[in-house]
Amino acid sequence: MRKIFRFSFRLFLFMCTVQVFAQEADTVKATKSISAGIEVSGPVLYALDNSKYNLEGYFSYRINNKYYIVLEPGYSRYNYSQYNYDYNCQGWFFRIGTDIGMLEPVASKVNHFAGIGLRYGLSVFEQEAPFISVDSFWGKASTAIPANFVHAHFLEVQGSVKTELFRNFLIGWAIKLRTHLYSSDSNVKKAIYIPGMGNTGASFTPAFSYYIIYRIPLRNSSGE
Amino acid sequence: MKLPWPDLVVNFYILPMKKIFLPLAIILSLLYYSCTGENCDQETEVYMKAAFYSAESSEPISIDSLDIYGLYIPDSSICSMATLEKVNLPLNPSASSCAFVIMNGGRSDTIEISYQSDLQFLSQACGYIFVFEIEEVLFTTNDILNVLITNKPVNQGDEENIQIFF
Repeated sequence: MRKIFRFSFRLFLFMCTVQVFAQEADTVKATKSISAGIEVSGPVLYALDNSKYNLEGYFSYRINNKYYIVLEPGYSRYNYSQYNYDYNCQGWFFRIGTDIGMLEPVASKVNHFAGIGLRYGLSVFEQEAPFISVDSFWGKASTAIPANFVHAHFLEVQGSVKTELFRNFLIGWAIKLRTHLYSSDSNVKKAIYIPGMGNTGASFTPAFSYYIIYRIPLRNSSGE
Repeated sequence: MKLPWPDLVVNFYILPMKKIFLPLAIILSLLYYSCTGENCDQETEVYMKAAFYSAESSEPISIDSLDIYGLYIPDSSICSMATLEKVNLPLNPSASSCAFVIMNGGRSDTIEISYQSDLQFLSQACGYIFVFEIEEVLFTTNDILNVLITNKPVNQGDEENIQIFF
């Protein structure tokens, strides 16, 4: 057992050494490129639960091995219903920011991405509460909040992995944490859901995205 | 040393993704449902808080054999034959005023409260509540000598709203 462990440890060290030499040997410069893609988890989740519909695109510009400029525009619709109220909202949003790659600039990894991202988000949406019922000693009081427009601002931090499966064709996922900065709603017309950000109940809203992306290399240009 | 892409994808990305994806998906799902599927644990009932005072000493007093009900709905007992220093009176969110009958040992008085009601969002789990702003209190003086408004906003807090002097 001890021999097996010792052999495994040496094999691991050897593999690490080979990997380090391999990384040092084939450092390359990344080609500048633009990428376009879609986020697929929104439509898939909508098929399972039709209370939330989220459709968003992904556009990025690779400046060099490390830095990307990213734009994620989208549309979202959300319906919520429980015994004492209904809430609907729908609207457009975009998130803009940067991705910072953390892979070494080597040939074997230059077309993949693993790193962190930062985004600022703006959402413009319409919301309403067409049914509100409040129980009291005097009986049920029913009312409604008519449709009203809200704009909201939020920040997002994410970790993501994108893998080139075929030439210039990538898949990847991102884990995101979003926090609400400001919205034009009020105590009464409170936004329960912000398109592009998610539910507003907690200080931080987690999210998960899965991307399918096509990369278009820009000819006669190379990054650092 | 350049690895062919299937090896690279499998060793460096697909396997880690497979390893990481399931636990992360479970954690994120739990987080999501813990945030959105929460139960309402906030106070959703809003009452006007009334306290009883002695007109002579201005000190809090207990009133014996107290019956309180909503005007025109005698079956709607708020308290019956109770001994109380304070009572929570529910305002009617569907109207701009409501009245209560306060019976004390055979004598009865009516207190009518005028107010503005406002809708307020509490949380996704709880929904909406009505809060109020007292405008005026009218009362009969069979047993009650005076009523003072001490705090106009009526919300979920514990602050006393009116003082009833006997």
